[in-house]
Amino acid sequence: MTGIAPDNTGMQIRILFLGEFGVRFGREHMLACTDPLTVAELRRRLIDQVEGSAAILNRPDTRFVVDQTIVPDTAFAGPGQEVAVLPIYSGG
Amino acid sequence: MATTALLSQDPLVAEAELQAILGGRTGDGAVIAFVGLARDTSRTGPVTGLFLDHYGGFTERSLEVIAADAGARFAVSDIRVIHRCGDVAPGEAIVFVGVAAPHRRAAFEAADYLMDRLKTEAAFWKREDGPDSSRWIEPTDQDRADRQRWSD
Repeated sequence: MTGIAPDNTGMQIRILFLGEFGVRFGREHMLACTDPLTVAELRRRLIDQVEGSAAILNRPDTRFVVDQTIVPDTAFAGPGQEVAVLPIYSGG
Repeated sequence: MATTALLSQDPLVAEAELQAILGGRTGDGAVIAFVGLARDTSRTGPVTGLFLDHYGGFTERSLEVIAADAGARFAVSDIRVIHRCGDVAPGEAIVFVGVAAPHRRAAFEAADYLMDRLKTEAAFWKREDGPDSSRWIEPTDQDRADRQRWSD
C-alpha cells in the first residue's frame, strides 16, 4: 500500500486508482479524515498529497466512484467508504 | 429473456461458451456467436500481450447493464457475454458474445449492438504491451462512431 498514512483514529477513506492511474501513482491509498468530504474536496486533498496527480485528477473525463457508483463533485464520501478514481474506459 | 454477463480471469473457451448457449435450444431459430481475439499487432507495432484492468463488482455491473439493455431493445431470448480480464496473450479470446433469438435479424443486430457498447462502455482499462514499451488504450473514433449508431 502506498500514499497517505492513516491517522490515529483509523478514520480513513480507501482510495483506488484504476488503470494507468494505478501504475503511475500506486493502486491503493488511505486518506485520513474525520468527517465526510465532498468529492471536490477529496480531489483537492489527493492533488496535494499525491505528487503529480493534478493533471489526471482534473481531467474532465476522470470519474469518481463512491461505493461502486459514479458520482458528481458534490457527492460525499466519508470514513470507511471506498472511492475509486477511474480513467476513461478502454472498453472491451 | 435470459442474460448471462460474466468476467473471467481464466482463459475463455469459445467452443464451450457456444455450447452453453446452443445446447438444448428448441424454441429459437438463430444463435449468433462473436469471439473477439487478442491480436499480435496493432497500429503501433508488435503486441506481446494485453492486460485488462478492472474494478471488482463495478466492471461486472457494466457488463450486466449492457447485456440487459440489449435484451430490452431486441426481440431475443438469450444473451451470453463472457469477458476476460487480467493478462491475455495474442490469439486468446478476449470476449464471447452469444445471442439466441427466434429469428436471425434480431440476433445479428443484438450481437452488433452488444459489441459496439462493450467496446466503449465496458469498464476496463486495457494496456497493450509490446517488445519495447506499453501503452494504455482508449476507444478509437471508429469505436465511438460505431456506438453512436445506436443512439436514440
